[in-house]
Amino acid sequence: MGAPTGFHPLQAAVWAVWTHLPRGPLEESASAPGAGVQDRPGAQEDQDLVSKLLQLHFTDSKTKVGGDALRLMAELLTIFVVEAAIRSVRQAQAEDLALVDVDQLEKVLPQLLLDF
Amino acid sequence: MEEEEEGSGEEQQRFSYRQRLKAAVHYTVGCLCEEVASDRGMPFSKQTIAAISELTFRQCETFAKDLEMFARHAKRSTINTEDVKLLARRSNSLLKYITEKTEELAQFNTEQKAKKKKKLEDDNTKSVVPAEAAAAEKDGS
Repeated sequence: MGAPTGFHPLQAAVWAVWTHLPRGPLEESASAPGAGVQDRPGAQEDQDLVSKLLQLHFTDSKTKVGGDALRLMAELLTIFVVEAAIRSVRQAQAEDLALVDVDQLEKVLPQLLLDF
Repeated sequence: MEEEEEGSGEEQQRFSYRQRLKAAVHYTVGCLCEEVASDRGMPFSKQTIAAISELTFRQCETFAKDLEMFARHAKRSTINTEDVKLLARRSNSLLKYITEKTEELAQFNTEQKAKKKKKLEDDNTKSVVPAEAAAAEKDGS
């Protein structure tokens, strides 16, 4: 694979996102018993959104999504967004800019879409 | 005439639902970009965030259609983790990561199941009433 970025910096960034996102009151009460893999802050909202997004685009209304599959999709989409952001930042850094603009995103877009 | 109006109303509703979903995606992408920006000390322009949101929304369409096809190919109507793994096939490191996550989730689920079973057994030995209450609660949810 000729991907310009491995997933090590990405994983670090994703972890940073998970640990820094503010916790909603609902989640704090829910996370009390059995804190585990699913207890990422904001995970529930993300999953609701991902579920609705997928349902919107399904051509067959009978199609359903399993619970684990939904969690993985939320994960995959988070990675997609963070990957787009990080690659754009790198492009901006390479161009010695202080702000990431659409031009930088455009430059990393082809490889990003090939990788997903 | 009335039917036409109803039809356009429904279309309008679908459109506004779509816009609301887009707004939600935009918000989530905004949060994620903010994190990356503060992590790397490099801010994003508003247009970039909007572009990433639009990109994610469109990519979601491709993902959804692919997943649906994968499930149908396996003669299922429910999308499971195997389909998601197939979706992540293009990048080796991504596939590896998703596979690890799948295993983690599977392990977590079996642990939860074992815990539940044990708890249920404990409840049964203590008294029948709490177990019934738990069952009722489960039905309710």
